[in-house]
Amino acid sequence: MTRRASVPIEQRSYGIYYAVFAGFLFLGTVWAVVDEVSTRRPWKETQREYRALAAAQLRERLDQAHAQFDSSAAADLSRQLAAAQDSMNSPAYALLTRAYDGVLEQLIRENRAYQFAKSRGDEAYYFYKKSVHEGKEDPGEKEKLTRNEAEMAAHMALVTRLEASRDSIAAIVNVYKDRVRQAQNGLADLRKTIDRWEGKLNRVESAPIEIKQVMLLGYDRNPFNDPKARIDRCQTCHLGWNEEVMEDAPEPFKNHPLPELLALHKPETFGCTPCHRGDGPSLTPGGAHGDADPYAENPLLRGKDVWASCNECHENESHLDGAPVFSSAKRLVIESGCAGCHEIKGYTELPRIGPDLGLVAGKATPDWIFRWVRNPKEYNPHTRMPNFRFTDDQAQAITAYLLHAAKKDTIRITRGAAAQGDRERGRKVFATVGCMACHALGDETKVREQRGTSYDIAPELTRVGSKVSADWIYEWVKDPRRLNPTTKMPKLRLTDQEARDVAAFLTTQRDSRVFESMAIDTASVTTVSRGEGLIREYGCAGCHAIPGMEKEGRVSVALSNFGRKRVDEMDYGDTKVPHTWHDWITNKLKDSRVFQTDRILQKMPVFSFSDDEIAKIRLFLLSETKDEPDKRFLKPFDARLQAIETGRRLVYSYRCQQCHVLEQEGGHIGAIIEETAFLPPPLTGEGKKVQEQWLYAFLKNPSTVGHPDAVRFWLNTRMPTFSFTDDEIGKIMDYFLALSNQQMAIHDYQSFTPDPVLLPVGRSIFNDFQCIKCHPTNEKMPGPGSAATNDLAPNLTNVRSRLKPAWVVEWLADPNKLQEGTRMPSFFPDGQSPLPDVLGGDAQKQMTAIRDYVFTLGGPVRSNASVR
Amino acid sequence: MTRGICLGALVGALLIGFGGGARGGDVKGKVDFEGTAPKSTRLMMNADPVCMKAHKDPVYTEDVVVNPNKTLKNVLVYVKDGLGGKKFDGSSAAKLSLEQKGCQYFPHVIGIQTGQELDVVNDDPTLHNVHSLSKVNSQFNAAQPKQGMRLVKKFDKAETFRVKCEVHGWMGAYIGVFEHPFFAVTGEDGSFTIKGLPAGEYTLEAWHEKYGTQTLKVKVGGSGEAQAKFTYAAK
Ligand SMILES: [Cu+2]
Repeated sequence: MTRRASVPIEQRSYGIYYAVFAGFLFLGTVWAVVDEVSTRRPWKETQREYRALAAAQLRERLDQAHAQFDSSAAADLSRQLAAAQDSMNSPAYALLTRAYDGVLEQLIRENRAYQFAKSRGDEAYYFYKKSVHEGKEDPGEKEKLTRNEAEMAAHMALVTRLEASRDSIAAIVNVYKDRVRQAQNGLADLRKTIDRWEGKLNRVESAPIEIKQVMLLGYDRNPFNDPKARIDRCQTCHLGWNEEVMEDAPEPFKNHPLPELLALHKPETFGCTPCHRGDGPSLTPGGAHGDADPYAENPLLRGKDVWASCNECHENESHLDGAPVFSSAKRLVIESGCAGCHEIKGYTELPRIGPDLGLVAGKATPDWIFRWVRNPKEYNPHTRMPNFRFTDDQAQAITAYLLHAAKKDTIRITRGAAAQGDRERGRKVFATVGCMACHALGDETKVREQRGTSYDIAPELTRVGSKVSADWIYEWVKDPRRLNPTTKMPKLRLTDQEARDVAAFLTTQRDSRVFESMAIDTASVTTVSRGEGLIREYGCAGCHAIPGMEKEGRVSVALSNFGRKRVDEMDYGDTKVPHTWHDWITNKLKDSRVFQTDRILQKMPVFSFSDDEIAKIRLFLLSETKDEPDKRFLKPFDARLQAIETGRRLVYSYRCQQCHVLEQEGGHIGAIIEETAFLPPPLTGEGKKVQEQWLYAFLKNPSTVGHPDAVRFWLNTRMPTFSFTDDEIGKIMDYFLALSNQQMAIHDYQSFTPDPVLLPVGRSIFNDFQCIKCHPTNEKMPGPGSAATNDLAPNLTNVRSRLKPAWVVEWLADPNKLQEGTRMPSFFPDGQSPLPDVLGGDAQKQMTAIRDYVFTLGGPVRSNASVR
Repeated sequence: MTRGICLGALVGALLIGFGGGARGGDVKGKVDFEGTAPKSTRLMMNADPVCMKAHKDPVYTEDVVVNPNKTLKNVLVYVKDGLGGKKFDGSSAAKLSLEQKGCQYFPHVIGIQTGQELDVVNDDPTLHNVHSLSKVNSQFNAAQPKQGMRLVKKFDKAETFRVKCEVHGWMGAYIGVFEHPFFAVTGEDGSFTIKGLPAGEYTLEAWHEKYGTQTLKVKVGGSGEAQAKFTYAAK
């Protein structure tokens, strides 16, 4: 009190306080600067780390390159270079250049003289003509004109001579210069690896520490639907994605494992988040990857989930080359019939995956139907039909409705038609004609295993004898479409006896278990209507055609934005399942009733997917979002892609890939055919290979298999008759053609005429190459015992009406390029012919000659109806 | 040209120096066979008269060849482990040859280094093609329609694979590619020698096309030879 009073305020010193606070302020500023420049920019340290790591790797490569450097060759070349440069300083070279300059000078002079003479001549010509027109011809001008023309000719002759000598001197000068250039190139070549690593090292070491950003203008849209840029700074830390030496480096420096995909989606301009998601602008791992925030809007897609993002741009395609996980996830969803109950964009037009139940009464017994409805897995553990866990009561009611509603008398099965079948012969037919490409039986499950799915795409036949009668099987295998017009099962063109034998064999395949018989009361109106109610409630019509249920809609929720469903929108019931999107869907797919409580009943049936399949369906669901980048970033879904997708789905639905490899998928029958020679042909490049007319006729009626003029008449496995409609054949042909980048057009292959000069040469090459050792032709058909059929190659008799002429030449040039792993060897390795004396050794001409000769095999062409 | 030869000689000298200088040694051994040899099947070559004419005596399959001294022929023995990260360049090693003669491959099993040249020759006046069924190395499938045709091939990755002729289904051979020169194939007496291994401990593996692989450890000391014995039993 006293002190304050004693020193007046004006005289008090606050210096110490100012100093202290100024100190704080100063420290605060320093801290702010440090924080801003360093602490809050951890990526700077990351970049320094990368620099050290990459430089070390590159230096190692550089040292290796130095060690491998051929120094004696380099010394040689340096000496040559020095000599060549010396020679350019020699008096001889100086003389040469001087001569060259002199010639050039003269050339200019002579050219000018020529031009002047020409002008003078033109002038004289003008005056001469003028005088002629005026009626008094001037001989003086005429003489001047002649003189100048003579002068021009003389100058021209000189110019020509000078140009010749200029060129010849230049040629000599060039020899000198070439010598230098060659030595320089040689040296550069030797140093190539060194220079390459050195360049890379320099670039890494001198790379500035800075944020690396990719900006995609208008890629996204904000909540008001205005275009919005996408900012992507991932490459600030992920620096080694394109650096081969960082293959074994730790994250975030590791190189990208799929460079072939990056070639199509260039990270330099496209960034990383379109495929990997995450928060692009963020510069910390936690923020960018979304780990730091449980509510992150766009967390990084981890593991296989990354394939989910393909769908953002490739929604319309169910197969992508280079993305097998994506392709198989889509295939799985199509085959499992998800779209029967759920609306999924792009999958609303799929055919029902189950059989028509209007026909069930004529096929199976009421007891069998009851047990199937109650739990289909009990009869066929690998059926695609899920388990609805119906009670006995419910199953009885449903069976009653199905029997009640089934079409009566639609199918006539002749009693006793299958009698006198031989089961052993039947077993053989079943094993060889191709049944097992789709149907598993007993221990024969190799095709299923190769396919890698937990389910079958056609019924397993292990217990079929307990389901249907021999007579029914007989009628069915002879012509499945007669009994069920909508079945996908094709006709294998069995003879009556073969069909009887197969029926006899299959009826021996019985269920050894004994079940109590169930009374099914089809007469009780209450039971029947209760069954009808259950069928509607559980949405059976999503997969089956059921009489009286033709207009049923989908019973469950739409999945179009399921990938964006929030955790708080999901019901976890009484379970202890962690509250995440992934855990919810994983558990749901494992047991669809898991979240059921005493109040909330769940109707989704229980599937038996494998863990791998669950992961794939999960990734498909993750891909179901409404996110779509701006059109400018999309590859247009043009006519070609549309043709491909349409055909692809058709081919899926007919299961062509059980036997044929197509788009790098399929050929599963290979699991039970040991000899490559007996495999169904891969269909890669088919559109480029076969003539449209032939393909049409073959798809319409493939019965030529087994006939002597067929491509491989010795095969036991038969291409089935699918009874395709013309529309379907058109779609398949468009698909094959589009895959080969060709379009449907009418080609007149009949008018192909072999070159008369090449023809005999082709014949002699054909003999020299001994093509006939493997390929049967009409001149040499393998008789019984003449050659093992597993060494045979396709019959060449009908190539003229089967193969496209251009394809044959391409095939001869490099068979393995068109069909990987083919047994056909290359006769022109590296484009070189082994016959230097034929057609001047011109490989291309020789191939054309072979083609022309092969096209004459089989004589005149049978006429084929042309297509559309 | 001379440059290449000089370089080859240099590398060769280095290799020899390496083998001797590191005070290494050879591994010698034998592959015994126990039990009765499976009956070999006679090859029927009547599909191609040229092949048939090439043989007066019957020819048998070569998948299992048991020598009279109860040893197994055509076993490929090689160092599987123990060389550390040492690199060996095979491009200077002598060219090997795979002959097609009388519609059979000679030798039936061949060991080769990465980068080493293999000369595939057709000695028959008929069409052969060599189709390599390799998985790691790129496949080749070249026709040799004329007698005396040659094809020189190199392999860049270690792998054992089958080559076959697609014209003559019975013709098959095996090629083992290694990143080092320490391998051998058993012959008529079932013995093998792997030369010039630097001192150290190694895992040897024996491979047979029908009976599969076996491994054992071997120690190569300062001097002399190490012994190794494999035994395959009839199945
Ligand atoms: Cu051959």
